[in-house]
Amino acid sequence: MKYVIIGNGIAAAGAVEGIRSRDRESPIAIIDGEQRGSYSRPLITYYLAGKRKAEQMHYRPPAFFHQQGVTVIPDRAVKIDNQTRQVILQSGLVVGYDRLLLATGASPIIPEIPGIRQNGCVKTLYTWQDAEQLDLLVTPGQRAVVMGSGLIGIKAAEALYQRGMQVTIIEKQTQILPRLLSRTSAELVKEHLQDKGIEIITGQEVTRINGDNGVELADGRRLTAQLVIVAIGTRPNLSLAADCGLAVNQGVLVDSHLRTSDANIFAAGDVIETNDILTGYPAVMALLPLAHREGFLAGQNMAGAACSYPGGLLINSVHVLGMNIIGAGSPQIPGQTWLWQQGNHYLELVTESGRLVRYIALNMPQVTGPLTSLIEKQMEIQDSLWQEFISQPGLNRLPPMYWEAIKEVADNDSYRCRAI
Amino acid sequence: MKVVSYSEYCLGCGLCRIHCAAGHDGYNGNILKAYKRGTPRPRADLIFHQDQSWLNTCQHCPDAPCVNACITGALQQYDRGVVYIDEEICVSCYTCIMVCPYGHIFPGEQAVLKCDLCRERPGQPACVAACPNGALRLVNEGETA
Repeated sequence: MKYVIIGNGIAAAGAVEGIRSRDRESPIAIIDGEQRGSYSRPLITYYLAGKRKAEQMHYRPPAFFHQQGVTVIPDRAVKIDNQTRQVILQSGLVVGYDRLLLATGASPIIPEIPGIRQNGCVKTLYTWQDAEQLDLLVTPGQRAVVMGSGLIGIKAAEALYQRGMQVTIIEKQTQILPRLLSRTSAELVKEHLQDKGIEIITGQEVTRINGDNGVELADGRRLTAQLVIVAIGTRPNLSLAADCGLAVNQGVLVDSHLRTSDANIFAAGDVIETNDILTGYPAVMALLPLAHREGFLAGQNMAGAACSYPGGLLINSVHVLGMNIIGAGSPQIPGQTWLWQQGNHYLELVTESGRLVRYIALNMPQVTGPLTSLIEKQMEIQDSLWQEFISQPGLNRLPPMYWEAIKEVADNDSYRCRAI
Repeated sequence: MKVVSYSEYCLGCGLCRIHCAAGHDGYNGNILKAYKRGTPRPRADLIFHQDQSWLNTCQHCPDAPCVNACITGALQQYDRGVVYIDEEICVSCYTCIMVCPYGHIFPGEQAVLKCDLCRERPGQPACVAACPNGALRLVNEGETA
């Protein structure tokens, strides 16, 4: 059996672990288009901020791949020939496979705005190389505009701020971090960032970029900026999959075993369209923990197992300028809201028929693990118990049935391969 | 391998968490020195729930969600299923805290804090050794509690 993985991100590392849990012998090749080894993408903002050195960027160290008998090929895949089961690389090299994993990730979306492609001051912050290039452009005292206030936008703004730049965030939606926060919690985070000196403009779009002079907004305002970061979202890298005829929609389509429409090709990570387990709707989740789990399960399935993957839950934890923001669940499901706030600690729960469907925790990390688990389990809990919990949130106040359920499964096996 | 807590024997005295904190504070587990001069932080905490109490400590889960979710690779599962954190690599993003169903992992300054089964300590983990009522036991993989 010959395994080939296209991409060397989180899903690829998970896949190596998954394959090797079932097959110690067969050769594995990783085609590493970025040619930077296995590194953690979220760390690039730490790198830009100067808090992380190059040697601290590994997600799995080079020795890991060596020990696992993996050949890492620093080259880019340009074509998949699924008839002859071959991957053609940019250098002309051809790599044959029996089982292929598409872990090609995503790329930042660049909107069609006049001036955006012509100006050297416009950058993205998505790869390690982006961070290195930005590092050279950072000039303390100058102004940077960050388009978008998602996780990348917020972390980019933080890094540039910490490097001494004046930072303005422009968000099209009427609140920041729209995928993660509610309106109330977004206001608190916005106040926190503004207090630190980051300027935030919501409900506005950049409509033109004028060279070194700055940007124009929809309402006609002009902002001077020496640097513009585009962080309005990402999109799966679909071309390899689409060109060889695999079924794609927003992302590569996979079945419950992470297999694409070609029986020999699997896909995992930011490139796939999976299910939001809470809403049941198809979604491109693009979250690191999911990429690792999908890779791990796909890897086992490539080696002959039949692990099923139900989909993922939207979860995120991020720190900005001393504030910890954790959120999970679906913003779309309406329900009853429970609020608690004390100083800069804030907790918001949304329940629907007693079931937790969302929470947002600011500077309240300790209770979030069980809350995530409560969303996953969809345990029905009486309002009086939610009331008791929210009156003084803590592990001691969790609903009794939660602790009973969790003590029963002392070995938490919710992430184990379940063959269905 | 993990420490199992028996709530039916737990008196709720909290010696486990005190010895845990002292055992990780560089004074060889000396409680007086650790609490006078150090910054003792426990890696496990007592839960008081209704009329019961127990030590809520890391279960070193097979296929641990924290290891799966760790963004840096700082959390890894080693021999006998033990989950250790490499404090040099952790960036304290709290993703592990967000996915631990037990709420075991603690926020820390440079790195998050979690149970390491007192790997530097000879013999039993500090919490097990300190428990006056036999409410804690170190259990091997596969062994029933």
